[in-house]
Amino acid sequence: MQTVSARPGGVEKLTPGLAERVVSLLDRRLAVILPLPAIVVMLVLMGYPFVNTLLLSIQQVDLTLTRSVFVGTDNFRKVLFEDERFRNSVFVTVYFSMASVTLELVFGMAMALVLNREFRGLGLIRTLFLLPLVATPTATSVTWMIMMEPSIGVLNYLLEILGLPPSLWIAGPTTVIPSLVMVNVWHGVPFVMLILLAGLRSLPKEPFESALIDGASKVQVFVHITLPLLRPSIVVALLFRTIDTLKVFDAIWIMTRGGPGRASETLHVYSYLTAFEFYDLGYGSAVILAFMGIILAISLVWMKVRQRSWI
Amino acid sequence: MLQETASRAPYVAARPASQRRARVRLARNALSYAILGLLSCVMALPLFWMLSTSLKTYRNVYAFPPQWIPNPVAWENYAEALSVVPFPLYFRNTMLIAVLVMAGNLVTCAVVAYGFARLNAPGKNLLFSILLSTMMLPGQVTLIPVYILFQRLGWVNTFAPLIVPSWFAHSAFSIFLFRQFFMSIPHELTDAAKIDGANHFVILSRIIVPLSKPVVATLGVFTFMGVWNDFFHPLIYLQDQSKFTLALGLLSLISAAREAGAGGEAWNLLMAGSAMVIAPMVVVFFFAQRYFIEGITLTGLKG
Repeated sequence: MQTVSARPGGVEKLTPGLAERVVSLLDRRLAVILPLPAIVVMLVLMGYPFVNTLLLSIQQVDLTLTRSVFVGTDNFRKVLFEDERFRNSVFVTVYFSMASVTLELVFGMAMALVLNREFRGLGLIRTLFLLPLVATPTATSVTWMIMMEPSIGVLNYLLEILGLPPSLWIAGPTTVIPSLVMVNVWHGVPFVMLILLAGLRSLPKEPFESALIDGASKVQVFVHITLPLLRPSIVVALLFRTIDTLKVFDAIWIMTRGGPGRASETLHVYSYLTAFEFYDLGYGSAVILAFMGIILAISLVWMKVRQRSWI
Repeated sequence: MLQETASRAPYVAARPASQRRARVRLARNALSYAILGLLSCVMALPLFWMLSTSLKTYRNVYAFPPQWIPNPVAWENYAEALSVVPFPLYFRNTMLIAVLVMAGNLVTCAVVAYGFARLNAPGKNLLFSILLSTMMLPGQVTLIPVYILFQRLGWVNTFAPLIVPSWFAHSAFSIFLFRQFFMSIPHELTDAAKIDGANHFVILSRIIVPLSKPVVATLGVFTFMGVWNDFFHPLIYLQDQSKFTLALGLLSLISAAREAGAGGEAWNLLMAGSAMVIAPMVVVFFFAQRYFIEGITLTGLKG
């Protein structure tokens, strides 16, 4: 403890106060202490629950937690082989996510390419493009719901002006997912655009100059130079958006509650219903673990793509 | 003679060519402006429609073809929405949670990130990669046991499940962004302070954090928006109407709007409520746009 008084700050005080001693002790052990809260929380809020989810998934529990019966792999067997509803939700989730992310990439790229030049009004347009990113999803979902009203909604009115037949939007079993994809793309495309725009701005100039000298067309430059160079940004945008899209809950819950029927019941909606509306925590855990297995598989595929992009 | 025409030719051709190029450029600019204009309309349509509907009278909400600009303008919708659902109360709840989460997140994540960026401990890198991988883990996986944990603590139907985790450096993303920034601060600055006898807390609070204002602002804005826009966690943890957040309050406004409109849903009230929920975010965004864009850009370049 005497090291404290050796420091310039503590020279006048020969016997350091308690507070100072604590500080100095903390100071020297800091490398271990600082990350502690994060580790503790990771264990308490990630590790422990994860193990607990595993344990729950092999039991039958109700939300009051008064009874639990060990059922072994029964829950998983039911989820994977008997549960039509789970299978439906896997299909809905994959359909919704793939369509969303693909469209976001296409539109995000187009917007990034258009915005990647200097012109008047750029700031204003960029602000306008980014608004969906910050707008509260609950509020915008309600708005979309109103716009998609089949009889008097503004979207069907716009279709009518364009001479197209009206759509049922979220009220139709086949149109509900495309409608939700539209909402999700509207929310997510600014994020993709920003990442790609940053990527475009950081590209080296030389390959483009030499391609220009060689007389390459714009399309050739885009396909053979821009895209490959931009690949890390594309992968990051896709990764983040895929994770986010798999987590989408508010828009679907507010607009359709998984309906009509079960046409828009994603895995997240289904697992929420099982655990918090049907109070079947054990089965809910099994659904969630199966859900995670699917996400893990998707992530692994992405990591493969990621690795390849940086060879 | 031949040489002369050859040398003159470019001059003759120069004018029309440059004019043509100018015309092409103009056409191309017009085209991209048109595309931009169309895109802007599409992106802005829902927010415009929200505003427009929120100012329509009951009758005009159901007018077909729909009114673009409300006439007459029904400002009273906002007052009525406020009387149907206690938005001021929900605003206070949301602000309380958002501010506490923001403070907790910034303070604790900065401390943890300082540990990761500036100090050496065995296994540090392994810990950091574990931390990063939790970003990829979907929240649902841990949801049920965490819910049970909070239920056993008696925290369900309080703000605690929404606030307390943030005081334990719960956000891997924040730690990550802080760490990247802290690592870029020159060691000379902190070494000089160390020689002068500053301890780590002084170094962090007096040197590192003041130099990291942009990242503090970025994460502050992100955290605040995350809490403000969160729907799922308030939905499962809050049960009393008096404890609702704004995002959750909209849900009760939806059912209230079903009853309020005679014969149809009172969409105008619903949109007035939605506009009030979104407005603060839009204001924050206008002022903090730079930090917001920087944050996402950093994610893209370093993620």
